[in-house]
Amino acid sequence: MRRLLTLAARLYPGSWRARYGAEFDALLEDIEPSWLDVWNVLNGALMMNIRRGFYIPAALAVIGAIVGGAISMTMPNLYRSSTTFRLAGVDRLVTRTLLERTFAPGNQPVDNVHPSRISVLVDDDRSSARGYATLVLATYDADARQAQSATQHLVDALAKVVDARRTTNPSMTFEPIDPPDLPLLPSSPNRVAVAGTGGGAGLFLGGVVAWIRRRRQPS
Amino acid sequence: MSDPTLLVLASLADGDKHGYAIMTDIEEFASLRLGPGTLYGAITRLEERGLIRAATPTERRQPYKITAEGRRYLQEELSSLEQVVRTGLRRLKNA
Repeated sequence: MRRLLTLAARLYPGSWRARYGAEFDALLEDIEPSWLDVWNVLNGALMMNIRRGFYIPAALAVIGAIVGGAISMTMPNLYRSSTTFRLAGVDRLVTRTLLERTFAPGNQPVDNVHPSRISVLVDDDRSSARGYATLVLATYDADARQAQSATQHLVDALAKVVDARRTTNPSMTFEPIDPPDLPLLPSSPNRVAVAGTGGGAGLFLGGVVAWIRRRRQPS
Repeated sequence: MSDPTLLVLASLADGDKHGYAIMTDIEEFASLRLGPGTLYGAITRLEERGLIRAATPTERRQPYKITAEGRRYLQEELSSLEQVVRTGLRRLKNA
């Protein structure tokens, strides 16, 4: 416990320790230490760091979080509607080729849904070896009903593609598992994460500024 | 009264003391144990404001002395606190 207390006391700023360090250490030797004392010294070190220069990173972290929060408020809500289906009678290569031809970024929009708004996830690698692939197809849109409708259009489009391919591969089938859902809450942006990223960037920048200032100060 | 700076000033009002002596004195007269971080936070603030100053050290222990400005400040704060206490007690009695 005493060792922890001594370590906690080392967290005070150097300038403070230069003035009060020896007498503070003497006080810590005099007392019967407890967990409360360790916490109290840690808290004291934090407060003293804020008073003596750490206010720069703290202030920039707050500013960064506010800016991040403000930016996140300008980002539109996106709703994600997804559907699960199974492609049978195909191997992994055929599945990938089919998906890339239909949904890859840079492709033409499918039924007015741009590929950048589509995500396709092959759900189960092992199923591919058994001759089928379970897939989750999702669409993002600023409107929840539009997202659901777009997902349904894409499933229909994919079913048509599979139908057309059955002339050369009769064992290929398209089997819907879960219909496109109607999202109730937006999936993005994660405003807390955006604000937190801003806060983290501010904290890092503030740390660099505080370090440079300390280096420039005459010892 | 739980303001650590006032407690430290009140402790130093009857003579110079080092950190541990201030801590035990406050524990006796206020039944409140100030943690080491809280005590030295208060000492740092009081010294920066010129309300206390370091006296002649004995080995590693550094005693502190209340300044004239510190006495004035303590007097003012305790007077206003006394008024609050008197008013509160009177109102409790009349309620």
